[in-house]
Amino acid sequence: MKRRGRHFEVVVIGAGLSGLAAASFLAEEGVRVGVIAKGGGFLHFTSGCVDVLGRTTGGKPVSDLPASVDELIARAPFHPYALTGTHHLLEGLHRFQAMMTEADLDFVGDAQANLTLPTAIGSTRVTCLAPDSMAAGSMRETSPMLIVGFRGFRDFYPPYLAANLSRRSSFPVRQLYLDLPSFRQRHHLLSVDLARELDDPATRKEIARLVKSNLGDAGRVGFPAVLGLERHRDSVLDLTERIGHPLFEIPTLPPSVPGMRINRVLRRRLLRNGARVEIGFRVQGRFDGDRAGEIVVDSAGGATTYTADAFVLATGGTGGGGIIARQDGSLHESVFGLPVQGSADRSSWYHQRFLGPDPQPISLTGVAVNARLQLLPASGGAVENVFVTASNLPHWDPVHEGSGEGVALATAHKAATEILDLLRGPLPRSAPSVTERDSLGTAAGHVSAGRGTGTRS
Amino acid sequence: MYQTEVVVIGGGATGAGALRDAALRGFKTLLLERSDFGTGTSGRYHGLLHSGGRYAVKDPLSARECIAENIILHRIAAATIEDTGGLFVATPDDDPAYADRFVTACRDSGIPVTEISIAEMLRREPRLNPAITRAFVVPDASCEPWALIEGNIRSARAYGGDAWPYHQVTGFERQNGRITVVRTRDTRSGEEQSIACDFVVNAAGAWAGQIGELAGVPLTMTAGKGSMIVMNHRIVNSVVNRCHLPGDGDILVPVGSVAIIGTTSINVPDPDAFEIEPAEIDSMLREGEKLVPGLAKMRSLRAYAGVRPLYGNEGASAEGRDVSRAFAVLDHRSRDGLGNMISIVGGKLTTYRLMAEHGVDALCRSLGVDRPCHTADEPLPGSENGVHYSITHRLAAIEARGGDENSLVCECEYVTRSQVEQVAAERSTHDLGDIRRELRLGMGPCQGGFCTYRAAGVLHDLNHLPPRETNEALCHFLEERWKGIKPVLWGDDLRQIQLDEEIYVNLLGVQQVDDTVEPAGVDRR
Ligand SMILES: Cc1cc2nc3c(=O)[nH]c(=O)nc-3n(C[C@H](O)[C@H](O)[C@H](O)COP(=O)(O)OP(=O)(O)OC[C@H]3O[C@@H](n4cnc5c(N)ncnc54)[C@H](O)[C@@H]3O)c2cc1C
Ligand SMILES: Cc1cc2nc3c(=O)[nH]c(=O)nc-3n(C[C@H](O)[C@H](O)[C@H](O)COP(=O)(O)OP(=O)(O)OC[C@H]3O[C@@H](n4cnc5c(N)ncnc54)[C@H](O)[C@@H]3O)c2cc1C
Repeated sequence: MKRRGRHFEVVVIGAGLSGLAAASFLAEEGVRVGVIAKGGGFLHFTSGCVDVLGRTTGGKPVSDLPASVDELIARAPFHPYALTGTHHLLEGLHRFQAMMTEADLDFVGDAQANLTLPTAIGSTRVTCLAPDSMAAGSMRETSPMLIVGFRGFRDFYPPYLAANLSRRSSFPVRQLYLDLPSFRQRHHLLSVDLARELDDPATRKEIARLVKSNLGDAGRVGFPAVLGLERHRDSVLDLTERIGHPLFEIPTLPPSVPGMRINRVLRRRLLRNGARVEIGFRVQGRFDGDRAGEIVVDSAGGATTYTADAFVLATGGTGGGGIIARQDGSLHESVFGLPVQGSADRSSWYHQRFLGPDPQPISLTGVAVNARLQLLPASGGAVENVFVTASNLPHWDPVHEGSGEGVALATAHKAATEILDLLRGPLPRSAPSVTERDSLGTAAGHVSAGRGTGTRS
Repeated sequence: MYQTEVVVIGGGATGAGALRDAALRGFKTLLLERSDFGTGTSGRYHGLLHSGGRYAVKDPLSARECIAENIILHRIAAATIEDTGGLFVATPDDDPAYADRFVTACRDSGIPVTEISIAEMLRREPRLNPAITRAFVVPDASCEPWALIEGNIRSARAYGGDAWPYHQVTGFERQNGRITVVRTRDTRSGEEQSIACDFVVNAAGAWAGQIGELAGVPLTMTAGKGSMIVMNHRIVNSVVNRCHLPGDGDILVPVGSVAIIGTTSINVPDPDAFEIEPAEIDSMLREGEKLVPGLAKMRSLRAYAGVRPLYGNEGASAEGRDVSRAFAVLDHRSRDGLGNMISIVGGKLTTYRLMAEHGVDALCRSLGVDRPCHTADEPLPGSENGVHYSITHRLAAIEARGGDENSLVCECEYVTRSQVEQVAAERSTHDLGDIRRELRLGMGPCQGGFCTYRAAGVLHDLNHLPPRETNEALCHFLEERWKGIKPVLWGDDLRQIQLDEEIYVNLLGVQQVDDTVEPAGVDRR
């Protein structure tokens, strides 16, 4: 088989939020980056918000975000936030928000407090940063809601949503199904299909007309999160103007249109910054002494070898394919094949209940790292040039904590910073936008919303 | 007080068969099932309509019963049967002498058996182990239990019978050595009810002993747990059996879009409390490899287990497979001095009709009436045209309607919104499990990951339910599906589960959905 080779300064393995963010942070500093991944990453399955810490260990929604993060760090010294410190979390959030704003995908919120937004069954979830298009759904506002769905779209049920949400809201929540003739012909309407339809002004005009005549006393209108994909901003502005009230999106079942928007912004930005992004290939890594030497990518045309000075292992843990759990109870990291600590009794990987209060035990396993996020094999010292991020790390659970994106961004930022130190020496780089402090509360003032909070109306 | 002539206890295949049989013979008959129909052993069996080949060597009586019933059911229950045919194959691990004994025994029991070449076997079933040395074709088939039970009940209703799901029998009133009243509780509402009757048929399967206890007659049943694994692919198109003395993991049954490998056999003290052990899973996959190399690496969708209603020499504690699979009809008058109750115990799903026939014969004798059985003559509703189930029937039905409506609730099993609406309305149920058993909702590769939320939304839209109950239905269904997913979770399936968690816990927030008041100060700005 023919073997081709290629060299990057940094190869990022994995194209989820932490992989794309780490690659962006590096590419922005002029580092030659390659991103290689088997699949498109978890962004397509998420809410499209940036959760930093949504729930306490007891399952209660987090109200005082800075204090809760501090408390978590104090209580759980191996939690990723304890490894990154709040500085990298704040930097990660800030730079994410700035990148999105530049691409016209504004995010509201800041690290001072969580937002509370409705979910598609009419429960609520708390999050730190939300796309501007979701902000008007805030449960803190008191104006009546009209929830609008589309007949034939199987991933959003306004009556169910409204019935649940009314039970917990101080304001009325009404609902409306729109029956659009143009959708009736479609066999299987996915959120992405609807989003493409909503990129079209003619569809929006029709929707606005129907909504307007059913507005009643509603002061804001909720839609499934399908308000445009390529022309999302136009779509929201145009619909808002036509309807005359603030609109908000509510995340639906995957595929997640808000997640796809983030994914697109990050990938386009990477390409603009000269990075390479290759999706669809499984990767095998090899050590060269105590460093990672190269990775081999199997593709249709034969194997390609990538060498790099440093690697980011952003392969997504057990949920992303970064950690493989076998029938025989063994757990190992998927690129370098290192064993991962965890119970060898597979019946203890999960609880008897699916919806229990605690994280599933297997979610808490992960690849061991040192304080610099460098890969730590079972014996010997750390692998100096492999940095591990996000779901590959042990001792946290994105789902039950509501912390997935926050940890992804914080660890991506920390890994990028460590890599720059490694490649360039700890020289001063572009000045940090957040002061080096170690608490969200004191430093957070510097991280503020992109362009004001609330929807444009 | 509700009055009827005959009360049948148990809504499995045997009970449904007895209900139909008694109704066809003109008895006013009511069936009581504590849960949904087909949630006992009949809804947890392997799916195989036996040719009898499996029993030919060891239990010729069972073998003869199976082949006779197999032929009858092909005729009367065609729509519930996929006429897959079956193979018995001798792998290098099997005693080579068994194959010849097998052929002789099949012939003795009247089971048509034909040997085919290994080349022909591989042409039919390319995935089978090429090291197999001999292969025999027999008329095994696969049979959908819920449709079979439903068909029997519908037929009975047409003859004035009735069947109540979610009605548990809780006790009896006896007078002068006879049962006069059956007491039942609605397990959903908790409401108690008394039913006056002339005769009781105990068809409670592995729970028949519990019914015996309530009636004050000694009846010892052994619960023989057997586990099975649902594989994500159809793997084979015919039922494939190892040609050896029955053992673990030696049958692979194609059912719809999946294949089921099974079983194990471990006696358990309580038919309601059993776990699927990791060792059972490992042993079935290991054995399965001998039939289909690579099987252990294929995706397992879920595991489930049932309890065989074993009735042997009472008191003897033989392990599972040595207790006879043949059935018995116990007349409690001659046996225990209880004048008007019989128990139908043991047996197989394949012989449910014959068991019911013998049971109702005994009932007639006991009542001193002579009414012949008609269940072998008349097809079940839905099977009148004699057309067998085929895996493509859903798509064919849609094609026949001239196209599809645009709302597919479950893409894995092709369940549409209007089907869910129809079943929910017809059965006035809000249990997604009931809908699953009818439509296969949530039984495909995503195991309810996507369709649970959709089906809950549709149920709510129908305006059946207050939101709290819809939420309950949703969570209950997820937990029910979870039970079967958990034992086979490794490899790539972990990713599916992470996705399900992301959807229900994070994206939808189902754990908080019934917190009606926002905790103070969450949103401080
Ligand atoms: C693992 C396994 C694999 C098998 N594979 C096959 C096979 O491939 N082919 C085959 O032909 N046979 C097979 N069998 C055997 C077959 O499944 C059973 O013999 C058959 O399903 C028994 O049906 P039943 O109606 O007698 O019992 P069940 O289906 O168990 O029905 C009894 C019903 O009584 C109800 N009940 C209990 N207590 C009460 C009460 N107090 N009040 C009201 N209702 C009550 C229960 O809920 C239950 O629904 C298998 C069995 C097992 C365990
Ligand atoms: C022929 C066949 C084909 C199959 N094909 C597939 C397939 O393609 N895909 C797939 O995913 N699965 C398949 N299965 C497995 C099926 O989905 C179930 O796992 C199996 O029927 C067992 O039911 P369960 O998992 O709901 O059991 P459980 O979750 O254990 O319980 C089932 C029900 O029984 C009720 N119940 C149990 N005990 C009691 C009690 N004491 N009192 C009252 N109610 C009680 C519960 O309320 C529940 O509703 C198949 C099964 C069969 C028999």
